[in-house]
Amino acid sequence: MRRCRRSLISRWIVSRALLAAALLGVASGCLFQPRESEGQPDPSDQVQWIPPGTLGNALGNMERALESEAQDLTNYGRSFDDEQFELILDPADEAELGLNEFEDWSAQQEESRMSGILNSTEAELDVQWTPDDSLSQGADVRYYEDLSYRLVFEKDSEMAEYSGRCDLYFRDDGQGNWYVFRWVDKRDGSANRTWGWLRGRNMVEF
Amino acid sequence: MNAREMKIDSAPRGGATAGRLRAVLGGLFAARALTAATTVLAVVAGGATAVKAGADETFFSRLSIAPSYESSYRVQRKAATWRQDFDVQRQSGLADLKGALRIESKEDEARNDHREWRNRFRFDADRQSALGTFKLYGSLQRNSRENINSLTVRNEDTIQLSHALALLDHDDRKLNLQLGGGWVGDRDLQESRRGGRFSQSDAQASGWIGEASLSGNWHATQALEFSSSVSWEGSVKESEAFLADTETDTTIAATDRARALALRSEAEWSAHPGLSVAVSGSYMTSSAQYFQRSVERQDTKRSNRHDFSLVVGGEPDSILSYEAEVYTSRTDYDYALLSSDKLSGREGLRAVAAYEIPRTLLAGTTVTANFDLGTRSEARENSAAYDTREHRLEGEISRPLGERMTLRARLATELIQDYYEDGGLDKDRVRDGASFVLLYRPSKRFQARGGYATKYEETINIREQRAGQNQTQEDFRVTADYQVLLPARVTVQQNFQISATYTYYIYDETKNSLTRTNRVTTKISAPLWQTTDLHFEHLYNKSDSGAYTYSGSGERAYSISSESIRQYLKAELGYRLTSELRIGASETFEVNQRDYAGRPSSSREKNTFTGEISYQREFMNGIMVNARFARTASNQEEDFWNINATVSKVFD
Repeated sequence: MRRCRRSLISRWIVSRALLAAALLGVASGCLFQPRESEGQPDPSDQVQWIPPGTLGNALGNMERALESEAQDLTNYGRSFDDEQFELILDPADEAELGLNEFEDWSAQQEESRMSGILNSTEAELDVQWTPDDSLSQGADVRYYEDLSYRLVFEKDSEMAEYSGRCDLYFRDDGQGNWYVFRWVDKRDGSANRTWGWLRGRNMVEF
Repeated sequence: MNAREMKIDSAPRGGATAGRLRAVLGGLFAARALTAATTVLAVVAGGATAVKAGADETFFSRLSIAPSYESSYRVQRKAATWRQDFDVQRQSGLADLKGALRIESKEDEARNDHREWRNRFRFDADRQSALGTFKLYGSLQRNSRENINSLTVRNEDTIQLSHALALLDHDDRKLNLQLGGGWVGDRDLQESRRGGRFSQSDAQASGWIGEASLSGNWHATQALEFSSSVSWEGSVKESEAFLADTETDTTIAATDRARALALRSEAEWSAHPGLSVAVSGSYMTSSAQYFQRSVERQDTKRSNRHDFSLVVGGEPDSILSYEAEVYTSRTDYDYALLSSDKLSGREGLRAVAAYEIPRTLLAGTTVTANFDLGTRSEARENSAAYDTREHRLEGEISRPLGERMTLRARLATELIQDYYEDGGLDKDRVRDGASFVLLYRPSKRFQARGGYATKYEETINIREQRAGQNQTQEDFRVTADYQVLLPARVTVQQNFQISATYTYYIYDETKNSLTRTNRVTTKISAPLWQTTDLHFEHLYNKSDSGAYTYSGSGERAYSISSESIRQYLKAELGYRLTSELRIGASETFEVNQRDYAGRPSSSREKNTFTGEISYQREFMNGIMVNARFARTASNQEEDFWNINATVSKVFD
């Protein structure tokens, strides 16, 4: 009797689940329908993407995306591993910011954060990487140790400069392309603020 | 000279540093208990090599203390770190005492001969009694970094009494009250020098702290349980900070207030295996106010957080299980000090179900479905607020084909949409994927897999001026791998992959491209005899890419613009000379070859050889040694050392 009752409950749940799945299937036409773009862009706004078959290409893609006048950071976001991205701030920056939002960070959030920062200023950005030889950690991971970077924002007569070093880790996606999956940010001993600080403050401070 | 004076003498000389340090240390270690414990620590340090006083009772066990020492030396390329840790603990009916001293120095030739020293002394005293807890904490740190010489001295004292009281203690109902309060004091001295410039701060704060919590649970029936708690904590501190640099000096007097309140409630009903319901909710609020009396300015930092979750789930019978959750969470940070107010939240519905089809023809087939519908919101001061809506539907079927083979198929679709308040950065991403894997496992020694996966990804920037990167990517991948365990524990793994990625730009077809990749990975591990390990790893990756655009005939044609071959070979051999001593050698060889259309081809070879020796031993007198010395030679960079050596001993 008890077994029969459980079987009835099970059937009831399965039938309701199938009904829900059918309704979901009908509704998914709306739920999974993307929006359309407003129109065709100016061809000069387009940012070049080079398959990141080398670490240098990957840095170049990030640099071009950040410097583009269209401020389209799609290629910047694409340069990070979309399944895992870890951002570790310099401990001194973390302490000074007082709020560490980066403990659970992702490529998508990184793109949104940098997009927000660049869109909120009219300044032009110049990005410089100073890479040395990269190192390998097995066949699928390569990294730059203490990679120096410099970001210069210029607006009219004002200038804001950020600089620092980072350990930048890339993972091979299995097709010979390299994507950033870990960024360990460090102060470089200069008076400049770091890229990590810029992200944390979410604004360019002139 | 006692331990305290020894530390003062080891501080940097010159200027006001040593004098001020002495002055601060006078206050820092004023508490008798702390001074006594420091002296004990000095005795222990001096007596670290003391002989055992008797067969069963040692010098340290008579004193009820357990000191330990560890020294580690680490070299990575041109960076060397030496760290020494000395810990001592004493447990008695009177109090639990802990002291820790760390001396660390770091040098890095590659970073302009960067030198850094960190010395830290920490002392904890803990007294538990029926009335409450008495704690003392002292910390002394010195840090010299880059070309900055800085000194930090920090002292925190807490005297706290707490009492727990059971207001109600029945089998099905419990209610507990806990009250606590006390006095806190801290002092923080920092000095830094860089060239002719210096800055100094000396801050003291003291005040009162209090905490209260009420928690209870109630078993209304055997299947229904409620639990709830409310807790509060707060503090008021008066502080005075003296700040000085090369040109100015200032004194800041302030009042620091902080409080936090947390409410939590949970209810769970589980009368039937086919249906259980759990509801939980919480609210936390905290605020900190910092009022500078001299300029009558107040900085505040507030945060509020609400969480709510309703979970319904169950396992009506052995073939079906399900769970659904509705959740909402919202956090509001108001951090006026750095103008970085933030509001973030998430809400959604998540459901998962697994069903094993009971038909004879499909016996063992399991269907799993996941559904997620959620919204994350974020608003930050100085930037546009946005919502990210995520819709995800995923289904998986696992079907055994006989006893040795299993087929797994997975389908997933996902839509992620960013909505900005001004629409400027609005973006949609669509991801669809399907994969099929056939797993063959004829024995425990062999398994093989074959698979096919396809992925479709579309990126749509909504604003016209950002739509240049709007594109779709189609990815096709065929994979195969096997793993075999041969006699003599030799393992062989190989993985093969062929893939193609087509990228289509929506508004500029001339940028369309194709990338093709062939990849083979091989790994072999062979434990030869009992003492030798051999490991071999090889990667072969050949890829080409180029334009995939319409030709004159009206069809898309692929023209290769670059080709690359990457090979990575690693061979590693380890030989155990004795149970404590191991030697090893590894060689890696990496070739990157590139050919570009219309440009000279490039080839780069990197060859490294590493020789290493490692030693691990625990001596009769309890000293543990663990060391690894490795030297690497490379044709691309200077030879370098990797050293990791540790010596440790627990004195008992």
